[in-house]
Amino acid sequence: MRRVLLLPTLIVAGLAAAALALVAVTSRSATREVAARIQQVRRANALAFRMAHLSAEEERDVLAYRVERSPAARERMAAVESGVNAVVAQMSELQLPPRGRELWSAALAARAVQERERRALVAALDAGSGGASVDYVRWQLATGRAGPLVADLTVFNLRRLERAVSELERVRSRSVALLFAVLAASGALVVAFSLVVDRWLVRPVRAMTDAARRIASERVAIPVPGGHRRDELGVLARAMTRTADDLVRANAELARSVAARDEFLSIASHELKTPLTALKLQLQLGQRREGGPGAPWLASAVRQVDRVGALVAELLDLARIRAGRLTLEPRPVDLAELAAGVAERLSDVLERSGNALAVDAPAPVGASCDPARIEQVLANLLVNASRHAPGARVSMRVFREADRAVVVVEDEGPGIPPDALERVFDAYEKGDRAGQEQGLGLGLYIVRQIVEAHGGTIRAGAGRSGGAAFRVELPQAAVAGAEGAAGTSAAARAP
Amino acid sequence: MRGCRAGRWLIAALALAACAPQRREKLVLGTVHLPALGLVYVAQARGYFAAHGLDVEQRRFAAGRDAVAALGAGRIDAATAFETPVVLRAARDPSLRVLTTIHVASANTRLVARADRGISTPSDLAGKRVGVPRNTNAEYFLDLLLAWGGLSQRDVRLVEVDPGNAAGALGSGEVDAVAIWAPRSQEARRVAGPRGAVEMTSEVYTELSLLVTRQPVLAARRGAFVKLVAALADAERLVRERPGEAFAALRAGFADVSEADLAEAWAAVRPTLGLTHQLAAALEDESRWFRAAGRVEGAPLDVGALLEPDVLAEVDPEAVTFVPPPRRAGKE
Repeated sequence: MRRVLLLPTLIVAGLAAAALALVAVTSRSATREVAARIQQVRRANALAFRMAHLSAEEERDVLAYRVERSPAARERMAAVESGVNAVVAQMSELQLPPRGRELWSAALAARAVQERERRALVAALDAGSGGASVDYVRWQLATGRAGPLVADLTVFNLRRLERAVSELERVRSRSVALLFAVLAASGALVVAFSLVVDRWLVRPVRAMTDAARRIASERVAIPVPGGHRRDELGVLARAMTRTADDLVRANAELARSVAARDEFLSIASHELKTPLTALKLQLQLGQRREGGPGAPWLASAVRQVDRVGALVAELLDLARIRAGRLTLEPRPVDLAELAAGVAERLSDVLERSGNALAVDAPAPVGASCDPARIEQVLANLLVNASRHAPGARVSMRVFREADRAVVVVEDEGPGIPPDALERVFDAYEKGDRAGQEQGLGLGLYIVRQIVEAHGGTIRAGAGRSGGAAFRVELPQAAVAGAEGAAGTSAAARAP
Repeated sequence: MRGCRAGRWLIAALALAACAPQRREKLVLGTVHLPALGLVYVAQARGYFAAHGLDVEQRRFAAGRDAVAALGAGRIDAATAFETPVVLRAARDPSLRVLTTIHVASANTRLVARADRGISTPSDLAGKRVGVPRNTNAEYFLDLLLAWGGLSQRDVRLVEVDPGNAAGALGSGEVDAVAIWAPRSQEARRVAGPRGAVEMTSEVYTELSLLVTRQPVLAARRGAFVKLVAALADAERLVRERPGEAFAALRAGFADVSEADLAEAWAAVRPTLGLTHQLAAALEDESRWFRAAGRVEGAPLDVGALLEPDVLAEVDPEAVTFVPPPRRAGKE
């Protein structure tokens, strides 16, 4: 896998680097060559111009000397001669191409004839010879033969310069073409690499993701695609397949364990309920025989039996809920009246824990519910308040909001931490009093299940005084004396 | 099945067409049988014309002036000639175009004198009978040689000779000296009499042979002329890079000349293509001389119009070093 990712990158980088290096070397070499040529051409042209200038100067000097044989003219001719010799020496150092050498050799040959005839003419003039006129004609014939050859050499050099520039342009064009070719090749390689990556990485990862989703949703053990591969993706696919198998197996074992536990709880609750009922009847019979609550141990025994009975009831409810056997018998109920009844029934419990309960249910509020179960819900919320906020004021408000019947139970206790608001409805959740609590932590869980089984909702939040507040909403139903939409202002303040 | 058979026929026809020799473009070239024009013979012998898709038919003439005359009459497409006939023809035919030089030399045309007539320097020619083909480069060469010796044509007795009969005239004593080009000069040297021959060349004379055509022909067949010059450029390259092979090819065209004579004549010339200032200067010098001699009338020679650089520039740009004067840059 690493090779698949690394190799093309290295190839592209290597190609680009090689192309750039090649272009740089080629351009540099061509530039140097052209620069050298230009330098040669400049020198050759400068020397050619110098030669032409010296020839013209000499021609003037000879004509002047023919008129007046002055020493100054002789000195100038000598200076021209040494100047020409210097030009010849410098030109011989240049590397001229064959055609340039031919032109220069022809120019030098013509120049040599001209020089020879000049000397002969000067000698004849110095001697006052009558043959000077023939020498003059010869010098005239020889003069100017080198001029066109020097001009040809100059133009030839310029042609070379043009060709060098053209070559440089060709090198530049070739370099640009090479660069484009490398870029195109790199682009093609990148595209091919992308296709390879798509085929070898992206598609398998997508398939593995789909398989993982299916395993998660259907809880089935299916082989994750790519297990046959020998690379890291193959290792991952095989690991995912094994993990999925383990998870599915563990999930099945867990489900079996939960089912066994629920079945045990159901059986145990049923088995405990009958002897507990019998025990409580016998204890109550004992109390009646003694004509009152009886001995303190008898009253304590009755309370303990009630408590165990409540725990058994919770376990039975839990078993029913988990088994989907929670049955409801909904009917229109006046929730205000029902709440008042629950408050009255639990007044001694609240009184023992020092709670002052205020019920605010001024008008009938119709709700469609199983009254026994909703009584269980409200009782549970009040008992919950007495446990978590002993000695605090507790209020229970019943009102209507839009098409819902609402009950809010609120205390002025320490309240529920924000991060625990949702968690309090989980099974076996005891909040921050875990260890001190004597219950199973199933109360609010059962409350939520009952409310939601009615099509209602329950939410926990902060009350007006900062304590805990539980808001129960149930489907509305018409009952005698209930009004349309009342108590909305109260609802706005509820959690 | 029928479609398959038709396809096979089509493929076969295409294969035959590909294998068939390509039709070569015919071009009639007037030449003079001279070693100085050796590039033409080397190109022919080495198959360079054919390689460039040309079928060159050479028509031989006794002198360049005859070839140029045939060109003017439209009997040939191009001609090779020394510079003098071209200068003379250009004065009458402004459509004449020089495409390139074929050779440059200063010792190919020479004066061959009988030693037994007391001639050893140009000044010794005074009063002698000198044979020369009139209106050829030999006459211009002779004039330069006489001037070098302090003489003019009035100081000698000029005798008109035919190029092919120059050696005979010298051998028979009809003339004391003869101005002629190789290999006629070599023939003259061999028959110069019992005391042999004295040969003179001129350091101030530039002999050139030229490839010429006419503007209408060039405009109509420019591609063929580019091929022709390209073939000559191949021959020039061969001479420069493998002179032995070039001389062997030259020999094939000059079976009538001994190897020694051919080698001597070949060494005296510099086979080269070009349109140069040296050429322009030589043409202008000769034009002025012929005008001064009253042989040419009309406007002065327009070298810028006469030299046609485009064809050679397409083949070998560096060979074109002639830059026409600005006033003539807009020529046709």
